Amino acid sequence: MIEVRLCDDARRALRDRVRALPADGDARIRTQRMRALLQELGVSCDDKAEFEELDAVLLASANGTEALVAARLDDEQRAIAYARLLARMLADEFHAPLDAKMEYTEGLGAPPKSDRERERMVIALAHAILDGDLDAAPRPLYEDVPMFTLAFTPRSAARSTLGGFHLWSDFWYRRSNMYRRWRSRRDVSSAIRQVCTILTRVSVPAA
Amino acid sequence: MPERDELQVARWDAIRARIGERLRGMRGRSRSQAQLAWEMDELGFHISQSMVSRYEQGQGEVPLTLERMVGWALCCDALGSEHLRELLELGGYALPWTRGDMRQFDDLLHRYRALSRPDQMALRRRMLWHLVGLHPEPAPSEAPR
Repeated sequence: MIEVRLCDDARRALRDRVRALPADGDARIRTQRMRALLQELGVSCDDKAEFEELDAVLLASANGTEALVAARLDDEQRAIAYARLLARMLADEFHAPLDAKMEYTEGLGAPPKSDRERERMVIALAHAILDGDLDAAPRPLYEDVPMFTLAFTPRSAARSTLGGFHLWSDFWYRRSNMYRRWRSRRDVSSAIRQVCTILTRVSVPAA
Repeated sequence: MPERDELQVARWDAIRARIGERLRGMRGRSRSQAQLAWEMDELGFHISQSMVSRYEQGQGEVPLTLERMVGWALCCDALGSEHLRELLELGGYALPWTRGDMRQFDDLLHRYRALSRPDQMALRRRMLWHLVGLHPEPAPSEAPR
């Protein structure tokens, strides 16, 4: 059976838009922006879900995607919930025919062991989105990056090396708490940004 | 009782005993009629315990709608069951999902079992929309003006 994945179009559109999401303003304004972004991507948003323990749920099927956010949350918690929904949409997979991704208050509702690392990764990415500091997370999660190839020609070497770095970074960000902490440090993300800039410059042939 | 055509009445009379059998099969022994009626009521179906009993005995007077059949199966965790397939066939209904899809819905419902009761109900209510093939309903504040 062919596995049909949901939300792929919305994810592609989100990757184009998430970098431009402003991080200023209070929690209410940031929530409005994230909500508007989801709605523009075709996600139906409901902030009045009667959840007791859950903070939010992203429910997707061939009939559409909806974001359900608990009515009991305050502004700050709602902003975090929306950031997690965005992170979830960027970094997680939704399987047909219907999939539901549940967001609990951090530290509550421990997911099964197999999902634990993914949950932590989503939380780390959500914080990067909320802080407007996407550089604190690996680029493959939110934008297109060069691919790693084994064809190391003089021209493609820098590009392929860059692709290899991104692949490595994405791999460990999804699996290691220590790497996520290290990756989110300002000095580390700044150094990585510089390496990316240099390798990108080298890989682009002079006009 | 809403006004119904003679043919509709005759058809319902002919199938309601078989419908009742399938409804009993879906509920199984692990769930009481009262529990089922309560869960369906929580989902927004106006069905009492005596109505559950009457339908299961093939004495329901009003034909079951697609939404009620699906809601019934949802509350019984029987979306992937043969009973629901036969029920829909008898009622002349079709859903836009395969048997495999329906089994996966059941799996998802089992995963929801760990949630608190109100959370389960809120999720099931939304799942019903997807199950009967409707697009998610926009929240009142975002409805087109």
